[in-house]
Amino acid sequence: MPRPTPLPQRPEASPWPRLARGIASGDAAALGDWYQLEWPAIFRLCFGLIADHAAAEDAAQDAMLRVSDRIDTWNKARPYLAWRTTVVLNLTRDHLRRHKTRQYHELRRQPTSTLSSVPDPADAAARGELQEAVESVLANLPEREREAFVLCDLEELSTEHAAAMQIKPASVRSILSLARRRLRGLLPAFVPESSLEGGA
Amino acid sequence: MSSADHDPLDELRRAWKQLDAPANASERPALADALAAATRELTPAAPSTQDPQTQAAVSWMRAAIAATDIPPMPALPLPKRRANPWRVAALAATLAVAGFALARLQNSASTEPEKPIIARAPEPEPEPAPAVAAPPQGRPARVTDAGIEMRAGHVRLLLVHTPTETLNTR
Repeated sequence: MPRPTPLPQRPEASPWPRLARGIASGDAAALGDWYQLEWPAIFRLCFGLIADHAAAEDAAQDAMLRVSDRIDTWNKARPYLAWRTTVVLNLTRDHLRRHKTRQYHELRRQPTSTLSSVPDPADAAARGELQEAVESVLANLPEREREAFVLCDLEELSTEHAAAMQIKPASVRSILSLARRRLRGLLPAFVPESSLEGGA
Repeated sequence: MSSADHDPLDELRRAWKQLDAPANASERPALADALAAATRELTPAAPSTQDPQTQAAVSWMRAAIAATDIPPMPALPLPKRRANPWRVAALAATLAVAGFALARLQNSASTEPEKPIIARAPEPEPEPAPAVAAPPQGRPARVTDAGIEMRAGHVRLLLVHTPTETLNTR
């Protein structure tokens, strides 16, 4: 199996203050640049937190509007990504509360080991199955653990910054540890072992 | 002492105080090692110290999410326009001048007879009052050959004069 594609490199922190100033002053070009940079990242963040592709798209659109509306309230002394992730996290929590997606997921998917083919992250033809597998794994993580995993392991925020979850960093570490352990148990139910070995 | 008041750390504190201080410096590294081992056991593993299976699972998830289709970017919203203070001042001045001019115009036109802004709607024709029948004018009774006749409107009352003996014979 080909190795999975690595995560795209994040832009350096330097463009954020310039873009934030531009957006706050009504500069359409800055807003366009910011959308280009942030749309994939914010969509992935929403997808990880909501575990539903269609719902994540709606939430990501809302999140883009909310972050751009509030960007003038960003304290430049704080890292931009931590601030933005906090805004998106709060929005996805509201979204989940409104749409009761948690109950939906709990009823929708149970772990099975009957995936017929090996999902290959690099193969576009398998993306549908891959997406389903990812949604299933994420949906079977409890909400707090999913947040910890997405913020710390996917967004690579430190546990101090992940305290946007409104819990102490030590608790974030504990929840993250639980999430990883559960993830390790869940993945073989959705993804064949050979795929995991190749993806490591 | 109730179980609610019981703090599990109290026992640990007591035990800690009862520990003998290391008699010599050679014991200290051993204590430090023991403390470090206990800390490692209590602290969740850092990413670098995860077991290979967990690392593989995390890596796979990261790669899979990175490979997820990104929907097309939504249309850009209109950028927020921050109010230019000079523009605000110019607008306020224009409004003030316009208001002053309007007030002057109204004062100069106040001698003319005031015209209603909205034409008055035509008043409806008064409806005829409902017909009430006039009380009948009664005529005074008069004595006729048949008897005593009284008339009031269309009603005619006739008191027939009949001899008493005739009545008695019936």
